[in-house]
Amino acid sequence: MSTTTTARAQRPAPRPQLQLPRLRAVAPISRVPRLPFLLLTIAAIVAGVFGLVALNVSVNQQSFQISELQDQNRLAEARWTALQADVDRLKAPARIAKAAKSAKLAPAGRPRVVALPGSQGRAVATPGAATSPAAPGAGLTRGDDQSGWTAGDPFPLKRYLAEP
Amino acid sequence: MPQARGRKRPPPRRRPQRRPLRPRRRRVNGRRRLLALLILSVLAFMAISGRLIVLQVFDAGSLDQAAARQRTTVIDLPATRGRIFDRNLNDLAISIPARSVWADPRLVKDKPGTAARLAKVLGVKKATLAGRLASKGRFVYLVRRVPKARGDIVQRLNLPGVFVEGAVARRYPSGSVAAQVLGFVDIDGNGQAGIEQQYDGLLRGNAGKILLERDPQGRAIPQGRRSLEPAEPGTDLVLTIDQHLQYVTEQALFRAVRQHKAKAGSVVVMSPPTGEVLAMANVPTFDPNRITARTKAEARKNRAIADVFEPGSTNKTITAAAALQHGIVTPRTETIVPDNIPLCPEKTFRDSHSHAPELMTFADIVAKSSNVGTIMAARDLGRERLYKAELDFGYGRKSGVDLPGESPGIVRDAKSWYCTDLGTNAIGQGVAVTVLQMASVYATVANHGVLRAPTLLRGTVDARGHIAKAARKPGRRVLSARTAKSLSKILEGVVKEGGTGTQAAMEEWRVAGKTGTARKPDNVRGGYRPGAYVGSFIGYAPAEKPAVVVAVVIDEPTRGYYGGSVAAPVFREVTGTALRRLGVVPTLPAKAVR
Repeated sequence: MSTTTTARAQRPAPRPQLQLPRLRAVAPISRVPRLPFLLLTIAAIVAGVFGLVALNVSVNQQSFQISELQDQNRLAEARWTALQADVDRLKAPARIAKAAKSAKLAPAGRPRVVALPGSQGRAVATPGAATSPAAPGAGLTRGDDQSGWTAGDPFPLKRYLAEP
Repeated sequence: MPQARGRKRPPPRRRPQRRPLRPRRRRVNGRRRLLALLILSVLAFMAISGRLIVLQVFDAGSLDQAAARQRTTVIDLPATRGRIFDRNLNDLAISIPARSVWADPRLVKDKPGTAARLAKVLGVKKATLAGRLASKGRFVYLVRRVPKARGDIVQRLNLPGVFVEGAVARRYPSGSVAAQVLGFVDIDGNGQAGIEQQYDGLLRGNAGKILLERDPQGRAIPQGRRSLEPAEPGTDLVLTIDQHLQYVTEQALFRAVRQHKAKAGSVVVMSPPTGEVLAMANVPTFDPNRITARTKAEARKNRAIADVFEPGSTNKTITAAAALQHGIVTPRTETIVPDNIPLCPEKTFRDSHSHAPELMTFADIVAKSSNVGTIMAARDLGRERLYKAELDFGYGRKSGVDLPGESPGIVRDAKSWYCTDLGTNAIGQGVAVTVLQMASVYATVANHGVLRAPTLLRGTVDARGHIAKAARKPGRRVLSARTAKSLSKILEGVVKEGGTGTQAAMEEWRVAGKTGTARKPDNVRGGYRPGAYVGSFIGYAPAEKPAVVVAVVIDEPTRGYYGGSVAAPVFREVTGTALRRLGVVPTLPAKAVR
C-alpha cells in the first residue's frame, strides 16, 4: 500500500500542451519528369559502351597496323638482303672480267709512276702495254669458268632478279 | 487382426481408379521424396564441386598448359648467319632469306598432280617430288632453301598437305673465289669447312622465337598473349683476304696448272710484317653455292694447308739461314763444289746437272741451287743445328692459321736420322711441309728474321658496324736481322742472270726467292715415283722492303717440271698484281720512258 501511495505522490506534473502547427492544405508538389533522366542515363550507358567498343576497335586496328608494318619491315629487309646479294654477285671479279672480255677490253699493263718534285720516290716505271688477251679469266672455256655462273645454281642470278 | 467367425465378409473394397495427375496426399511419402531430392541435390552439388575442385585446383596447371598449347604458337626465328667480308669489305659470304617446302603426305590427296604443279614452280623433277610425297611419314621436306619468291608462289597455290616455312640460304657471291678458305655450310646452316667451320660459333648467332595466340583459323589474336625473343644475328667477320687478288691468283694458278698439265696447284700470298694471308688459292676447286655429295673431296680440300709435299730446293733457304746464323759460311765464302758428294757409303748426292768441280761462293751455291754445295755447308753445320733450324722455322707443327684441317707436316727427330738424312734434309727431301709453312719460312726471312703466325681474320664487326681488330700473336725471332739481310741478298741472286728463278724477276721491283723441284715419294712402293715432281717458287718483293711473300707450288706438272719454269711465272704475275694493289711504288729505275 505504502508503495502505491508513494508512487502516486511522486507522479510528475502533467506536461504542458505543445503548440502544434495548424495543418493546412497546400498546393500539390509538381512531379519531376523521369523521362529525361532515363534518357540521359541510357545515353550515358550507350556512350560508355560505344566508347569502349571504339577504343577497343582502335587498339585492335593499331595492333593490326603494327603487325602489317612489321611484315612490311621484314619484307623490305629480306628484299634488301637479296638485292645486296645480287649487287655482290654483279660486282664479283669473275663477272666483271667476263663482262670486260665480252666488251673486248683487256687489263691495263704496268702503270707509269711519276715521281713529283719534292717526293722521296725517284723511280719511274716503264709503262706496259695492255696484255690482251691474257686477261684474268680470258681464254677460259665454258667448263673452266669458276665464277659460279653456270647452270645448276639454285639461285641463278638472272631468273632470281626477275622474280619479285 | 482375426476376423469374427460367421460374419459375412464385406465385399472387397474396390480400389478407386487412380487419377494420374492427382498428387499424393500421403504426408510420409512427400517427406521422403523431399529428403531423397535433397540428398540427390547435395550429392550432385558435391559431385560438381568435387569435379570443379579437381579441375580448378589439382588439374589447373596441366589444363592451363594444354589450353595454352592449343591456342599459342611458337614461331622459331632463325638467326641470320654473320657475313664474311674480304679486307676491303666486299661480301664473300652472305645469308639471304629463302623458303623450305615440306609436306604431310597423308594430307596430300592428289600426289601426282601435286608433284606436277610443284615441279613447275620449284624446278625440281616431278619424279623426285613424287618419290618424296610417297613417304609414309607425316613430314617430309620437298625442297629446302629455295628462293623466297618461289616459296611464296607455292604458298599461293594453297595445295593441301603442302606447307612453306621460312629459311635462310648461305650464298657466296663470288662463286668459287676463295672457296677452300671460306668453306661451306650444310643444309642446316652449320659450318662444315674453312672459315665457316672455324668460326661457326661466332657466325651462327642465337635463334629467337615469337610466342603468340592464334584463333581457330590460325590468325594472330591482336590482344592475345604475345612475346618476342629476338634472334641475335651472328657476328660478321672481316678476313685478311683481298677478293680481287684472290681471283687473279686463282686464275693465274689455274692457267699454269692447265698449261703444264699438272695434277693440282696451290698459291699462298702473305704479308710478312703482319702474317696476314692476302690470298690462298687451290686448283682444283669448287663452287660452295653448288656443293653436293658429288663434289669431289680433292676439290673441297684446302691443299695449301692440308697436303704436305717435300719442299726440295726451297728448303735450302733454311740450311743457308742456319749456316749463316752459326757462322759456318758467309755469302762470299768460296768452296770448290764438285757435282757429287758421297755422304754415306751407300748414298751419293748429285747436282741436277753434271759439271766439273768449280769454285763457287755460298751465294752462288744458293743461286744455282747446288745440292752438293748445300750439303757441304750442312755437313759443317751438323744434324742437330739443321734439325733445330727446321723446328724454329715451324716445321713439324701447325702454323696456327685459323683454319681447320691443317697438317703439321713431317720432320723426323735428328736423333733418329740415318746417315743420309743430313743430306736429304739439307736439300728438302725427307721432310714434308705445307705450302703455308713454306710461305711462313720466307715471310720470316722477309720480316727481318721474326716469324709471325699466319692469320686469316682481320677483325669482327659488331652490331653497330664498328670493326674490332683481331688480336695478333706476338712474333718470334728465328734469325738475327743481320742474317736475314744477308740471306735476302743471296736470295736476290736466284732471280738474277745465272740463277734458277729468272722468270720470277720483275721490271719494277727487286725480287728475292728460291726455286724448288722435288721428286714425289711413292707411298706404295717406297722411294720416289719416276717422273713425278713438285715444282715451286717461293719469294718476296720488294726485296729491300718486302710487302708480300708469294709461295707457288705446282703438283705433278707434266709439261716441264722445274720450279723456275712452271711456278716462277705465276709468282711474277701474282706478286705484280699484289704490289700494284697495295700501292707499292716501283723501286727499280725505268729502262725506258716513253
